Amino acid sequence: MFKLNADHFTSIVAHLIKELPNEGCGILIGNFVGSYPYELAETKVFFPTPNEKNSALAYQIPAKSLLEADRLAEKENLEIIGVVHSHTNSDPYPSSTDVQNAFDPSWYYIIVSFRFEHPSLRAYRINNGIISEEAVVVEK
Amino acid sequence: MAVEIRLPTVLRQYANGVATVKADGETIGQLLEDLERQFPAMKGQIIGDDGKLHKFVNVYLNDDDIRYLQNLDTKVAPGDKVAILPAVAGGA
Repeated sequence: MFKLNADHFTSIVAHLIKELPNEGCGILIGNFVGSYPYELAETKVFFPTPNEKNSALAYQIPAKSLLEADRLAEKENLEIIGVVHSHTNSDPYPSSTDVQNAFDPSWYYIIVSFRFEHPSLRAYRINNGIISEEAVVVEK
Repeated sequence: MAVEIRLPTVLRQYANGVATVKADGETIGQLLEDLERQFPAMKGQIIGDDGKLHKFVNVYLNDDDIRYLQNLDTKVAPGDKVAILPAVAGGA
């Protein structure tokens, strides 16, 4: 299960819209609950980042951004719990590229699709190529 | 000398769940070798069979990516902090 609040949701969508027509991306910082690879993650901070690829079809988070996010997480006694990116014209489902690049089974891979009239956000865990969708809870 | 290394979540499982470990060495390469000695299950996760950093792994010495320094030969000094970070990418 993946939890975030309404402010996180709004910030995420606003950032990804701003990056259109390119894919946008960012890092999610918060707490894992349970033991590795965890049953629940609770978002505390959305950390927007640039997309190094500047592409409508691909994204890459700059390593420096990940370093900054990791330092923020350490300072706040939190963890990096996942990453969000947009699919500008495809479904909110991990692509083969997403799966090939998913190296951490504990991370939540959040995808926001702009394919439809309204942004559609879904969450996944990816472990050794196996995709499992996770429930998303948006709290007030 | 002993230098602190911050591990990404995915490697912490090989280091008894801890986020930060200490390793001994004069260079980044030596630190990583010591890391693998301390935690044998980590072998192959950071450095490939060719002796080079995996392309999906980034190593930072303080604020600098070691690929822009002397790579695994980059020297370390007391008080330095090393962070191992994954490459994060994907796309439609």
